[in-house]
Amino acid sequence: MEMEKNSGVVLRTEGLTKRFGGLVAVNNLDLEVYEGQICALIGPNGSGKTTVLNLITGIYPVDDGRIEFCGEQINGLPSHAICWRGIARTFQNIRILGSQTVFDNALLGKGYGNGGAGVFQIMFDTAKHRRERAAFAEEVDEVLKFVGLDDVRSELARNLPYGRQRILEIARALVTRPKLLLLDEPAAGLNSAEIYTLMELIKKINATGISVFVIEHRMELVGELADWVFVLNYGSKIAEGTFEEIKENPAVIEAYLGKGRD
Amino acid sequence: MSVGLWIQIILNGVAMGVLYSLPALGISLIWNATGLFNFAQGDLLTLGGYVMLTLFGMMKLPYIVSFVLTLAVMGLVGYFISRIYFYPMLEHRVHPQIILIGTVAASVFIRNLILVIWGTMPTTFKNPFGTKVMNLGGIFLMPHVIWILGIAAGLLILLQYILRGTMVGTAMRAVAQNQTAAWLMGIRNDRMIALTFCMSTAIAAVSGILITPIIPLTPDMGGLISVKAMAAVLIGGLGSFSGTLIGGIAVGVAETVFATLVTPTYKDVFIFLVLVAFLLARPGGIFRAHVSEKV
Amino acid sequence: MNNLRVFWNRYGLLIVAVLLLLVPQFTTQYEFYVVQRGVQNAMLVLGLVILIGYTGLMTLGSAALLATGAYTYGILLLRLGWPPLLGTIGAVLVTTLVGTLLGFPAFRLSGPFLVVTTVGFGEIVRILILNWEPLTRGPYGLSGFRAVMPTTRGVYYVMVVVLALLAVVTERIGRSRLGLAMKAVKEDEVAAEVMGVNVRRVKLISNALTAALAGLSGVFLASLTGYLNPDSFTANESTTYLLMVVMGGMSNVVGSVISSLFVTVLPEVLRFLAESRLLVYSLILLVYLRIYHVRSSKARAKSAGSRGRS
Ligand SMILES: Nc1ncnc2c1ncn2[C@@H]1O[C@H](COP(=O)(O)OP(=O)(O)OP(=O)(O)O)[C@@H](O)[C@H]1O
Ligand SMILES: [Mg+2]
Repeated sequence: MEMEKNSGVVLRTEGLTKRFGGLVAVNNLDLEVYEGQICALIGPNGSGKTTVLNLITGIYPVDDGRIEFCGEQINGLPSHAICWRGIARTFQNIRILGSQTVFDNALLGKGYGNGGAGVFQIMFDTAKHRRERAAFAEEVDEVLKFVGLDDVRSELARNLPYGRQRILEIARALVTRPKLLLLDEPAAGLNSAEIYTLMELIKKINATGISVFVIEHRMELVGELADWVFVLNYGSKIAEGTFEEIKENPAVIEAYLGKGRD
Repeated sequence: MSVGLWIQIILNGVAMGVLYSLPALGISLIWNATGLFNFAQGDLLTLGGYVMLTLFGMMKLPYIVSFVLTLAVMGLVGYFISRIYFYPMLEHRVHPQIILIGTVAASVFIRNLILVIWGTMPTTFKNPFGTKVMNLGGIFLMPHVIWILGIAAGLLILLQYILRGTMVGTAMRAVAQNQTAAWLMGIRNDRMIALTFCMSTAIAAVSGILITPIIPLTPDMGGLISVKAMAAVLIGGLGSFSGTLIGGIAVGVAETVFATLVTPTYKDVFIFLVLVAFLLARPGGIFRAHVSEKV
Repeated sequence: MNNLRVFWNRYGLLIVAVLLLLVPQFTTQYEFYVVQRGVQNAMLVLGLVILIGYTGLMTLGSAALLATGAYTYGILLLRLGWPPLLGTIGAVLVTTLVGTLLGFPAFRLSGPFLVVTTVGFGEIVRILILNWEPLTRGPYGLSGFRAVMPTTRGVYYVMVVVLALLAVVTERIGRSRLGLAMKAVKEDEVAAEVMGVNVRRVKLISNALTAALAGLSGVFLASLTGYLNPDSFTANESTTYLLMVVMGGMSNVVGSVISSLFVTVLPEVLRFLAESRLLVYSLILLVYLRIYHVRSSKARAKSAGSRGRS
């Protein structure tokens, strides 16, 4: 029974803790994300949600606790190595390369340093380099089509409307071929039509077998998407469960929904 | 070596060090207000020295008058550099790399302007504090060492008063903390930033004036001084007033001690190596906790 | 207009190379020397295109790397009696090694802090050359070594061909996945790292390539002048190289080659500039940065304002 459960866990954190000076931004946090699930992380502003993502992706060093991905400890690895293992993310404040094309932004998801053509092969434009280039281009174009950005392939990313820039960030993350996709408030700043498209896209991504861990403020989105919800307040987990359970939880209502509903 | 000799070496080092601290404070003030690291600070210092050379050494004005005039001239130079050059770049959010190149270009420009106006030969003017070595109970010091320490101390107290005790200082600090909020309170950012440049340049000029009895003026002396001032800032921790002061003194003392005990030839190499070691070990300086960028 | 641009992008480099090959037919000996220096400078500046233009790592240590290449070549030939070809390879390798070491501080430092270390590096190299007399002959300068080719024209033709090849390679790197990774490091290091770019490796590669080009440029400098002196490798030279790459458009390969040639030749055309060459250069740079970049960021803000939301 225990074995079976373990094999399905994509991401697990145990006692995860992060302090900024005197402030405990994440406090002794235990999370489990199962394969194929969509999990949501909710909580009031400043409760430490983004910090959790930054810890998982290795941007901040972990102060205490551990992070396991597919059964292996990943805290302590550099961010690019974590990405190569299969965790991709987007940012709360979009971080695309404005002066590069949509295609190049997505291609960045292929990273650099994880095998493939080296400096000299690029310099002499060897057959291997050319093959790799073609294969990558095909793959990127496929992803752009999948998310619906193929019509703006050669536009500069900064010229896209805001909503599509968010989609581009997701496309870039997909190009890394992740097992787990972390989304930090993907619906922030979108209008309702765009939110609908986004929701469909997240479901479509999940249907390809990628687990999704999403930070979200909008309850309707969480209710529609999430199989499992974690609630964070002042860095600590105050509840977890299905959306239905969470909605009824008095502690959650007190901390979050109570304030959020007017 | 006797204790007296040690005290002598260290006092000389401290005097040299405060002359690094002054431009370093300027760098620090400008960094706080704008996030811009001014590579031209050392060359503004040199320019101050040359203006003094003209007023005091060539036009033979009294020392005090030349001193004050030089500060006024250099303050204006700083004010205008900010108004016509750096503030517009900051206001339009030009890429930091470009602004950085701009400060490097400004540094080269000032250096070559000096070269064209005053020539390449090392020059100096009469040491106003006298050249007779003083004997203070077995410790032998040049009078200018005492004067440098005194004037620098006075200036630092004045500076601290301006920053902490006056409206202008409060406004300057407000701009440094949060430009938008300061602007909403009716503080003119452009003026405050220009004032910061003005003050920084004037303090650097004081150092340029006082340094002449120790080092003769050459157009390119600012490069090395800039780097040492930056070393002071970085060792002391960016943005920290007392840290910068101590950083400068540390650089001056380390350099003087190394030059006396080991070899003067490689004293600059030594300072650079210390600087790099510091940068790598503690990018935030000793007086500052390590902060991580918010993502 | 658009056609012209496409034509230029495709054939610009070829046109410049052919013109350069024709130069010896039309110039006096001195003019020829100046053009040779221009070609030699352009090699180094291609390295800066990679380091500053693509990867966004500022440096003021290029003259020191140039010196490392030039002096290593001279020393290998004079002291160890190596033949020129072997000396060239040795010099490029040594410079690459030194430059790569210089890449390590770039792991933790950026912007002004990195520039300070490169300035420090430049000073250290200069002081070492000045004082390590048994090897470098210090202030007297090093001379008496052979050039890479027996004739001056030979050296020149080799240089032009090498420059053209290097330009092609630089352009290729810029368009490759590596180039994209470099540009990502410049624009947003965190995003690059999180997307699987090994940022440290990219920085090391940039530094190594830049150093290799500077070393090669140094070998040709030694070959051209036959005499090396610490005064030719000051912070002023580093700033001039910075000017060349900035005026060339930072990440524009052909532009940087042209700008290197132009900046080298300019003071010879305007002789009255000789004294105040750097004064004029820095003024041009200041005005260019102020006007061009303030205007382009205004334009950017406008397009963002009309299209985006926040
Ligand atoms: N690099 C940092 N340095 C210092 N404090 C930080 C840093 N990053 C985050 N914090 C602090 O940690 C706390 C949690 O921040 P975090 O961004 O994780 O919250 P959040 O739940 O994502 O909030 P929001 O809903 O506003 O995005 C906040 O108080 C924040 O100020
Ligand atoms: Mg957040």
